[in-house]
Amino acid sequence: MINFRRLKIRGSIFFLFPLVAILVACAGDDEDAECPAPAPIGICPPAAGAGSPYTFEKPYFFPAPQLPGFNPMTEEGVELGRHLFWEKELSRDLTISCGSCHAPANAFTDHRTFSPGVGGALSRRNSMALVNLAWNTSFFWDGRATNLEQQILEPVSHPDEMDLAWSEAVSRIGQNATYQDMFTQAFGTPCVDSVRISYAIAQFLRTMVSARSKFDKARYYGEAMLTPAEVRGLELFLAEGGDPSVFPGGQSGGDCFHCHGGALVEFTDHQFRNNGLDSIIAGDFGREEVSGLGLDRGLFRTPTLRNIALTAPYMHDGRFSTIREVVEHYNSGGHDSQTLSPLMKFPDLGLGMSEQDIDDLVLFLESLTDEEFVADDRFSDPH
Amino acid sequence: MLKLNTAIYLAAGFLLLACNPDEEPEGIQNSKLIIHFDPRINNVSIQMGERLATPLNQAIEVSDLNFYLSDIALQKPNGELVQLAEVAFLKMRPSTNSPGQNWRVLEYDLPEGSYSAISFGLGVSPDLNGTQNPDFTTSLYDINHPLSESNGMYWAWESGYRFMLFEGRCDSVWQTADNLPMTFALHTGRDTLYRVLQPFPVNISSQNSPNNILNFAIDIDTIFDHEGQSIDLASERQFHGAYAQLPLGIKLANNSASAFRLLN
Repeated sequence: MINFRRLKIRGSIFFLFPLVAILVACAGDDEDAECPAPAPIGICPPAAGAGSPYTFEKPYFFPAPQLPGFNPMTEEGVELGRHLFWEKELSRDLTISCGSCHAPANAFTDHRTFSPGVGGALSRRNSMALVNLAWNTSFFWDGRATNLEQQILEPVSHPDEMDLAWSEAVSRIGQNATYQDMFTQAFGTPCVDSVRISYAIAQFLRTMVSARSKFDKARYYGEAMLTPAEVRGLELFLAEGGDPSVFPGGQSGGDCFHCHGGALVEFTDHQFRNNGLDSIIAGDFGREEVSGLGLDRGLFRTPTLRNIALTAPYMHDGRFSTIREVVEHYNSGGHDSQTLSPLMKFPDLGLGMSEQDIDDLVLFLESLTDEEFVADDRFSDPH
Repeated sequence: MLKLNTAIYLAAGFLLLACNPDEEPEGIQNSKLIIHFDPRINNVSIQMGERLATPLNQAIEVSDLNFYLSDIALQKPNGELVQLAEVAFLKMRPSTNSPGQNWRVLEYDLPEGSYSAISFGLGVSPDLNGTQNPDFTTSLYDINHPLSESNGMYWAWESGYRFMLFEGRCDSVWQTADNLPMTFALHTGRDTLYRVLQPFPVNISSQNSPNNILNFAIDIDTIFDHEGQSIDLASERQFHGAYAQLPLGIKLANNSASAFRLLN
């Protein structure tokens, strides 16, 4: 006797197979491919951009940015993202928005060692500056998100941050008539889901381009001059560490460029490093928590130095209050451990920079502040 | 059920069109050339972070080995060169950020024909390195390009890119203690340290197989010692292109160029 029930199931699997195979084939493509985006499952139609295409203003000396084809930027999407970035309805008790921990005056950080979430719970790591994210290849201190859309999904529902279930967040936003109009303009229909919210905020964050610091004006625009002390700080930034009479190849410098971008554009190498904060790494294993590799223990993302004077405190755990403390840490050589970056060449010995060297290096780092960026009204709270 | 299946087929058909807008007619498939790189010591594959001994019996644990290859080309029996890529970037450390990408493997469409050798240079060729070009800027290269600044291999000032980044922990003697006491960071760079390798004989053809695979070993022991040119980690643990250390750089570049060995 034929078992029709079994046949039906087998038939369904057979019919599904080509679809699954095609989806798998698409998933391996890069973000510029024309396949569907590898995004979280949403309830709305695919978030193809509606409205007016946004013209991304790339500084001429920056490389082409990472603008994912699956989330094309539009004027309407960016504006919606700005509203959502500052929207306290996205937190459980309506007290905080993304902007609460990423304020413009602080170069989109919050000047706290750890950020208080809903109910006063503290974040595990220091709030990262939001700047030039269109060029980032990974997000969070441990790089656990590989695109902005993915990164944005986390803080809303995280119990130590905004602590709001995405279902509730979607419900709140979806009931707001203003947002219904804005979603229609940005995505073609008023439908709201977590995917569309993350896409809109990602579009907004990608507009946050900082490339008009005093240093940029001097080097790239011919609109300013660095002081002799700042120029000397730049030279120290680009020089190898170590006394050449003791260490072959040494240039008595600050040895900053290896990790913070010798090209003097992005001021990060986008890599993960253990910069010698501790000899024993406990509690927070950094990149290892993502990769599972012992080699990655205590490694954290190299942050950009753009606007660094505004983003205190420093390091993933906010342990340093001033840039000078940071420079003094590097000048000390840092602490040795089994995953210490080999570019920290003098652990427990130090670089040997003088007080004047440190002063000048700090002045150069302060010249990376972009006042126009932090005062830009396009990023301010629209509510 | 019929309706469900019909819907699935329609969806599959739509996705097929969306994913493969330029697909060639059925029956014509490009042949691929897939090149694997495998770091070894004493001809045994190594794991990053594994305790190893150099030819001078010094203990090492390799954490990173990144390098550029330039002018990757196949050679036809008549000597004609067919370029596969201007430049490629490889890294031997496992990466979790790009699970779809294996940084130890290069893959190219194999141009039609038969080939008797493959050639490449170790490093970034002077044409691309930018040191001779006053208009050079890393902004030329987007994030997906091998020469993107985001790969963390650009050095700036006069030396251009790091050609090879070889890092880890070490000791000046062999030891089995849990922790090695020192680090090494050996980075080649500068046009003078670019090395064009002798072509490797191969026998591949676009007619033979859809996938032509070449496996290269990178002999770590050769990087540390080749033809009597040894790197002694007691005193030679750091090189970053300084002229004062150029003899070490030359030794490192020569040994590294000799470390590539075709396995099949």
